[in-house]
Amino acid sequence: MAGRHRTGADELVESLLSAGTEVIFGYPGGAIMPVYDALHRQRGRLRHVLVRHEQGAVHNAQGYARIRRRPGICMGTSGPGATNLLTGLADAMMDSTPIIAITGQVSRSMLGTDAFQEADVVGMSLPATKWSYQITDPNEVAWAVETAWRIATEGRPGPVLLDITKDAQQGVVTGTSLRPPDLSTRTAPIRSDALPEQDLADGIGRAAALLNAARRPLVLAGQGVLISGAEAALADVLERGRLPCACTLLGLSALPVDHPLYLGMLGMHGNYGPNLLTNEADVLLAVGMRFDDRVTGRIDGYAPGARIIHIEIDPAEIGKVVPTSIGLACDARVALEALAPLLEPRARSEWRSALEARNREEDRVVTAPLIEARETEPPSMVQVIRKLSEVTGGRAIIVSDVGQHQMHAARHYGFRLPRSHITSGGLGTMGFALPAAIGAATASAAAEDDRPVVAVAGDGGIQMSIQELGTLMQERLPVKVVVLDNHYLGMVRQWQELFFERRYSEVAMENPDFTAICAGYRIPAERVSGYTDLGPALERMLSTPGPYLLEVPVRQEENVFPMIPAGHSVEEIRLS
Amino acid sequence: MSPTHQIVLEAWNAPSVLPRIALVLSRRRLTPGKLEFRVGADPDRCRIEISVACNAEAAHRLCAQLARLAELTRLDHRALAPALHAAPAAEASAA
Repeated sequence: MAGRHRTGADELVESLLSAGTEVIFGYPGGAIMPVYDALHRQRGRLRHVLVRHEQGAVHNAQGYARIRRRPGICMGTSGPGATNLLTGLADAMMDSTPIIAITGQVSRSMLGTDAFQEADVVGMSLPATKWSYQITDPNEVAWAVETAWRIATEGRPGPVLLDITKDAQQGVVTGTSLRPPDLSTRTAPIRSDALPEQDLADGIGRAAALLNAARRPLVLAGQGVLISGAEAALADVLERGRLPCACTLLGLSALPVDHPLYLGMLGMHGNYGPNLLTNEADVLLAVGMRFDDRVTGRIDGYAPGARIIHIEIDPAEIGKVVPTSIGLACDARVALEALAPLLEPRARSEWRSALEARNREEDRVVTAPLIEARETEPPSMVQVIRKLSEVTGGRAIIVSDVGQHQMHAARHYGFRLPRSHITSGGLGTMGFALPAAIGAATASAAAEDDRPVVAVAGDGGIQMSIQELGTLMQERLPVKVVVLDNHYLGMVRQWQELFFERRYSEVAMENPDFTAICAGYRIPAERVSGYTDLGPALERMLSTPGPYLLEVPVRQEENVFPMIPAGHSVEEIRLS
Repeated sequence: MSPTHQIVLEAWNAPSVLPRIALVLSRRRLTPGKLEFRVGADPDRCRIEISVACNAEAAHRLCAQLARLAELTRLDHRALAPALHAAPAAEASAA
């Protein structure tokens, strides 16, 4: 950059590089053009993935962040470019994903004048971010990026937004100190009658005593285990105390499915045993999870006989939904490592037998009919997921969309490695899978992680972000896309069948030829002709270099069971 | 009759601080009896005093949410005596 002044845009790119940024997912436009010009000057040092819609960029960043364990960076211009990021920010906020969103903004002199492509994105993003900040001076840029990175990653991770005015991008960095605040400095601790101070060692000791005395304990593992890298510590706790464990949707892959103490998934469509017997447990140890309503069902009927130990890094989550006997606001790994040596092995064979017997009942009533080969019918979604699990050895990174296929993927894919499951859990954003898989594959390439990345989507969800096939084509990433096509918005149809007397209102979908669309994008694709072709087609998909789309026509009216109907207690879980 | 809670926040003085606090109150459907924003001798810092009538559980949630504010440097919360004005007229007469 000899011979020219460093602008705010240059400073932004340099600051991102210094922080550890490898890639930006974005889409250029008028108010962010100086940053794109700075990127052009730095080409070769910082990769940029050009998406086809800004929502794709934020989902890319989410997939990247979940695999790479560092903030995903996404960028868009002002106005619609910025507002198109908001759904992904809300999604990342719900699912604790560190994102730094950078948006261009009109020049400072035009703020608040309803200028072309002006939107108050800082105001709009406040409930959907941990921190939103508008940069109006080039000398603020380095501090803002450093602060954004720290806030996105510390404590409970989440999204932040930096909105940078065009004049701040174009202005020259003078090095003049603005004495920006050090947001890491709290001059005094939080003092509140409502938030008592905790003694971690005492809390861990009491938790161990409760667990050692428990006759029917159950461990609930959430995404906090994966975020803190506490998978080994979790296994140690379970094995030392011989404690059975179930995972939340986002906690899946924290424990390999073949672990002898693993019971399956919690939640509305989770496994029968852990859901049903939550209400018979006498002690629940909840780690890195937030008692989402999909997990608890009707709250006044949840775990009435249990004393609850809640380990969660976000103090706001402790006591938010369920009353806790012991609440420990700390990192999951720190707590589990402290807890493990205090646990005593107790067989509790009767309790574990009861849990396993319920899961066997589920296998017999729900799963067996869906995995039975029927030559006259298309494959079931369960068959597709189980076959995918088989051919990948449970080693793939599965990125699912939202709906029936999401629940089948969560339940029937045999996750063997940590951080193998990415989905939109809290917000339930259809259209998530394809762009998130692109981000995950970008992260895998950067980390030299050779696990295949497979996006699993329904015919509804894939069409919400199908334009991102263009990104996939351009980046030539080895993302495999499996579209489970039942010509319905399946989960809505299922609810209409069960709770609206089969009045199917606006759920039937006339679909395009997905393979023809892929032909337009020059992405190899095929349609599976039937069950016997399923395995070979999946093998062809996995062995073909680069991207691939497999369209799998599946049974039209397959339902997802078990199911806890909305507003019902976990013990009202249905098998049919 | 809900007790009144007094919450005093000290924070870096950024434009988004006040809207974030207002959003936390609004999302919890709480209307403050008092919401005072003041900048003292140091223009980089602000002090926000909130008094709100709510039960202990709501106060817990409110403080926990406010503690998430990135700009926050200090939070003091005290539960005061029950607010005489807290009960709506209909509720009071029914009682």
